Amino acid sequence: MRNELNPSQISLAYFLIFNSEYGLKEGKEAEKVFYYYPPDEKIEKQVRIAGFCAGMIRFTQTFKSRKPCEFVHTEKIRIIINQLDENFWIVMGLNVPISPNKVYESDLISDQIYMSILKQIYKSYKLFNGIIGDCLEQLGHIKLRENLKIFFDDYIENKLNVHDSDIMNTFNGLQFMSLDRNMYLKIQCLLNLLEEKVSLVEKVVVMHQDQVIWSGLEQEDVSSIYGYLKDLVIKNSSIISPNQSTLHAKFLVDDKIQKILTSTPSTSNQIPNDEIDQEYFEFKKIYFEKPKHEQYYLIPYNLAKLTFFIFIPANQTFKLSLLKEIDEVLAKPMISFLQEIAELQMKRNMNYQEEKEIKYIYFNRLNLAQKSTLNNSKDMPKHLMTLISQLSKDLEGCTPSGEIFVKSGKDYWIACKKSDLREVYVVVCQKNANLTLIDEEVKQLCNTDFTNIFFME
Amino acid sequence: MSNTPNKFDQLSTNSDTEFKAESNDENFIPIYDSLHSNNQSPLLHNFDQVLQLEEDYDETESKSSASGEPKFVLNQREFDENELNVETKSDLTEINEKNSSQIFSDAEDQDTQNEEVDLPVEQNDEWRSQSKHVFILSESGKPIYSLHGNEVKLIAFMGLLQALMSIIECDNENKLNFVVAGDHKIAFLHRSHLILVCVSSEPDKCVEQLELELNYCYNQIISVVTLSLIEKIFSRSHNYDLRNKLTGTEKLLTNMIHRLKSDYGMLLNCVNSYPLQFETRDQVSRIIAQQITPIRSVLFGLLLFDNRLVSLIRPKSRNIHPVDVHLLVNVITGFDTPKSVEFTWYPICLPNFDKNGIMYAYISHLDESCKTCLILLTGMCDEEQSIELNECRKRIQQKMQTQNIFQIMNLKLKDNSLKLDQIGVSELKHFLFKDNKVFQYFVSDYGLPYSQSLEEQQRIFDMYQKLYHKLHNKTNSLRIIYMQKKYETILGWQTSNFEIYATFSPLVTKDITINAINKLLEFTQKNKSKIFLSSMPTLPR
Repeated sequence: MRNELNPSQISLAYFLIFNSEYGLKEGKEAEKVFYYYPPDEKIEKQVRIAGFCAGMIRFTQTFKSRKPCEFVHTEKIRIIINQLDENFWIVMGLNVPISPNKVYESDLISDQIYMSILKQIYKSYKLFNGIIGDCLEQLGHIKLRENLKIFFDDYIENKLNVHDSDIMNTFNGLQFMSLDRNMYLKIQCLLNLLEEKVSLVEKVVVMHQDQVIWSGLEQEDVSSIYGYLKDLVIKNSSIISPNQSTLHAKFLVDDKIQKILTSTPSTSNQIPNDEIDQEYFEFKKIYFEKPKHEQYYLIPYNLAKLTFFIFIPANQTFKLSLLKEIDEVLAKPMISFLQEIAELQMKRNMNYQEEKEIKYIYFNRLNLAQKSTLNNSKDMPKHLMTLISQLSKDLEGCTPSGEIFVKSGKDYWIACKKSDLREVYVVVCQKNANLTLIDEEVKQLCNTDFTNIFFME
Repeated sequence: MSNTPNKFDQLSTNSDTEFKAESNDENFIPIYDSLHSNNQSPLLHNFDQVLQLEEDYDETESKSSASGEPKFVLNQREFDENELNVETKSDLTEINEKNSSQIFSDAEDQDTQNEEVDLPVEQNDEWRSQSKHVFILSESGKPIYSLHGNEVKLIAFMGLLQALMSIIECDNENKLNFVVAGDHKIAFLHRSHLILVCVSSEPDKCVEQLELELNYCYNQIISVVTLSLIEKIFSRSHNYDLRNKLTGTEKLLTNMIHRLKSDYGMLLNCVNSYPLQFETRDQVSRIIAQQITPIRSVLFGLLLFDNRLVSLIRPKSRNIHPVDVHLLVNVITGFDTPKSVEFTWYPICLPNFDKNGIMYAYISHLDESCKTCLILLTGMCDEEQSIELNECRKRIQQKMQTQNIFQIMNLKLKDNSLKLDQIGVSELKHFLFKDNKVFQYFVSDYGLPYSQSLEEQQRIFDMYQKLYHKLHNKTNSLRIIYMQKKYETILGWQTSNFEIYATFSPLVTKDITINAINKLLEFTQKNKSKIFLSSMPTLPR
């Protein structure tokens, strides 16, 4: 994320985590700040910003607001504040972009989008480290500071991209792969079989490339882990034919462990297989929130484009034999699935039409399914994406269903429709259109692309 | 002269506006320029004229400041400069002493307050739960005004406001605009030594509306104190207690804030015009113009009925900004003037006319019901002037009486030709039409079920207010908004000529709405001469 600063783009000004109960004594204010980015910032400024945020939070509470201070709009910097745990606060400061004629364009930063991003950052932290308050108890504040630095430095430098964010960040939805019923049932059967044969398996997520086929997780957990799983899949997308894939490649483990996995018990000259315990494989440990706060091993099992993510409670012990059992159950059926899915996709591609003029985003809040033909947000004016996120906020006020049509500038129309928990946003760029014409267009789109989904008229 | 005691009766404090008009503060950005960039003049027929006038305006202003050319520079002749200097000096030293002693006593007060059972205001539950607060303080954190609670008791709280503001401003000349916490929105405005803060938990108010409201409050203060006096006072003593200059006018601020809650004219930056037959309006205008033309000191003549503008007589080259008209109306509605009073003089600064100068408003109610109100704005005010204007007013009153105008104006309230049902679309429940050429608007009556509940009508106002700010958003300005909501479908549409805000029943189709809008446009076109003031006679000045 540390790119050269372009003043016409939204960029990160600072990022901090502070605890309002620390650093209360005079001269020790710096203890308040648990993490600060950029790391080379003067300590006085760090303290000043943390102090300001703490002051603002207290100030807003004077008026019995239901939520403490969330957004501070200043001319040059937008500050977004979120409470993590009782006394922990996470703060993100964004540089307001400047237009070519040197005006600060505050309205290009959508509060909702960046609040979602801020929340998502902590969700990722929580996934691997657990609740920050618990960490403070377990590690003590010095260790926690180190721990935060490792995680957030990496996240901010490599994963956080503040200038290309859009409405999809607020949905945090999943891309589902739609399969026909038969396929779906077959996968269900296989999952049942897996749980039957390998009793330690508790939860499974099945993905085809970056699309979800099946998730056995709670809604909240799956939305926090989806990004990580997607990255994992993309990083390890192998071109090896599924028949030849080796065990270590299937489990996406290190070369170091490769030897153990490929060696047969008889030829092993190092540690006997039976003594290798679960820690040895260095599988990631992950915290889930629901139904209760618990830690799991995440064991990926990948064949070509298909990946099964298997979750085993972290308090269980397992050995190499477990991995072999999994392989035995999954390997064969997965190969045939891959073939069937490939055929299905072939068929779909035949039907796939040319890219349409009309772009849309669909989101279902119930199952987090999202679908978008606006994949490349760059081909839309930036302010339209901000507008969509504003409209999404307005749509919240339309209960249980409603619609909003707006015309922005000369030719852009945005139509939003909502039915219970489903929402669709359609962008039409058309000269000399009028309300009825756009209405027709949207109706047509709903008829072709959302045949099974009911939208109120 | 039995009436002379009434002179300044409302604002004796304002007599100390003894200063020269100064327009040398180049840093000052005209208040409404940023908000309503093109809407400078209310009663013009086209944009070109607006632009032309703006130029004229600038010229006269710079001329007046440079040469002291007396044409529109107000308030200069009356005061002896030497006297002024002596007075202000002694005044200020006194204030300084007072302030320093006050600081000590304040500090003591606070200490004792915390110990006492009597909680500070900001811990009072009722105060904390108010849905709206407005605070005004000086840059040094001295309280000037609070909508709820005694501002003096809020000194510590105001200090916190000032501190939060200054932390942001210290950093790279940044500016604090607003803060959001759940449903609570807090808008800040820092302008010419004053800090204005609005805290609102009204869920339907958007931040832009709060900012608009703060701008009105700011203008209200300027209208009492003038910008140049504020600059002067605070540059000499930044710890000055501005309440000394505002005594008695706090209720104008409060009145302003209450009016903003539901006044469409203030929202749309329009004059509230009173619908009247073209002929009658013309008659009224001619009577007033005829009478005030010979009195050289009168710059503007306004006739209001029911606090809405019936007629406006202005010099050829100058115009009056809608905001300034709202400030004048605020004076009429804000003070409970006894009805027996024949006339009042009120010194007022019209910030969009001359933010540094004082004008004198001669205010008189012409009929028994006190609905008809004549305002004459002059550059000076003395006994001679009072006699002259009284005579003039009496003549106007007489003529209007003989021509039966009071009666006609009263009747117009019951006129049916402007009713909503004339449009003939039953799904249309209410609409608001703004003409962008003349800066006036027309608001329809309410259809069922809205006509029966004030709450519902307020809800419509709040929805339009949101639409208005969406249409006028700086980066994302919209042309059309069509929203189907739970209880109604609303439409906002702006073109360069007009703006329409309309409410329909919830399940209306788009074809019906478009049909209704077309009919609505026909309707307003047809009734234009009735609804709006146009082609008013001007004064040859």
